[in-house]
Amino acid sequence: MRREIALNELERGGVLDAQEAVFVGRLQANEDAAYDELVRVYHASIFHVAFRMLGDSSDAADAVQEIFLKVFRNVQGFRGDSSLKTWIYRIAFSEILNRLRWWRRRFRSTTVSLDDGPEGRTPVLHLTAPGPTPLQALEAKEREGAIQHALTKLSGEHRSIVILRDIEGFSYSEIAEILGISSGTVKSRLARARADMKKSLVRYLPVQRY
Amino acid sequence: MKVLSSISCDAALELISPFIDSMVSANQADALRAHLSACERCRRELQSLASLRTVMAGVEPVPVPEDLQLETRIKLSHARSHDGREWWKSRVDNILKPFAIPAVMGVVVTLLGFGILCGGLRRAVVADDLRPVATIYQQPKGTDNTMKRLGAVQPPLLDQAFSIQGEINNEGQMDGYSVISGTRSHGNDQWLQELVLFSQWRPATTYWGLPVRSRVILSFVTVRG
Repeated sequence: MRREIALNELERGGVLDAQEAVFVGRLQANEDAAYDELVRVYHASIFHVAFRMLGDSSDAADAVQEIFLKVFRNVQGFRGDSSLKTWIYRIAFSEILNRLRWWRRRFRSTTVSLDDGPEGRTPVLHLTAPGPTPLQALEAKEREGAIQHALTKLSGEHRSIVILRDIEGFSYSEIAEILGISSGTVKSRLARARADMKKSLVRYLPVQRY
Repeated sequence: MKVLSSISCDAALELISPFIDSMVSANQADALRAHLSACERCRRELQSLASLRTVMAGVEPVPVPEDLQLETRIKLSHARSHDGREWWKSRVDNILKPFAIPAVMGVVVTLLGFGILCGGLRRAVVADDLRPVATIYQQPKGTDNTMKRLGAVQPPLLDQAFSIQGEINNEGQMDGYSVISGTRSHGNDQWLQELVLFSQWRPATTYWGLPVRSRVILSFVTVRG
């Protein structure tokens, strides 16, 4: 029961509280069970953002493993200045953005189709049946594909912010902490990124009264 | 486009994105609301951004590869175990290095001291005891000349086996002997004294090669026919 409470606190991703501090202490003590819990709690969400950023399941899986290795290698230096979740996402986005930069440098000279993602690859989505009817399932799949395509057309920095804010639901200050930028920069980049996303997804946006 | 509010469309468009996240001040929100009430274009922009946020929030999580969790745990476990070994290795090295030179010197000094002590013991054995330490003892051997003489000299006829125990000093000479078995006679004694007088032995030695006093047992039999 206490473990459930601790994990709930972890997933919330707020200030480092006593239970989270205990959990970090277990990680720093190299406790097997703590690392198993860490992977169990975070692997899916990290994979999700890695996939949205990289657009490929295999690359995302590789990135997830590397991210957890970096968490392990750096956990001794974690001082609790942010929540554990924010700290892990900071490592995750550092790794993912490095991969994107490496990929861009490697394939800089290749011709990229406008129908492809920025890395010259068509994003691959493996979706579970999201709706009760085949038509709804088809529409959802098409919309998911369009969103992923629109994301891959953004720069790495803009893509990070849109994913962190609109898909993962992080606050501006958390995004600033994760990406190492100011809240003002988050605000302006998010506005530009949303404008670009809106252009790409205009036919999928329902009329909504605000 | 008719604008009745105090902010322009450009300023309003900049505020719309943070406005839907509730990241504007109360004054900014009031100004934007006033502008939106009068500006159809900006109102449509707000609606489309709000729709975009709704669509993005409804994105389905991608299915996670089934073996990702297990593979990550295994990879992490390997890294942690390797790191643990490295940690222990460096710790042991750090602890042992300061002791390494003194320890080696200690072993060398101990061996030297032990060697010197053993040498002293061997000399003591030569002086006081006929029985050197078994593990560092080499048996005495007759020289070639002695062995030839033993083979060539015709002993007196012996009714039974004749055995003597001789004491060989550290110069390889037999100092004396005693009869262990067999019948003593004048002829036998004469033959034995001649044998002992001219015999030469390689004395027994210690491990360090020092000759020591030792004993040798010789048996003689007459082979008939």
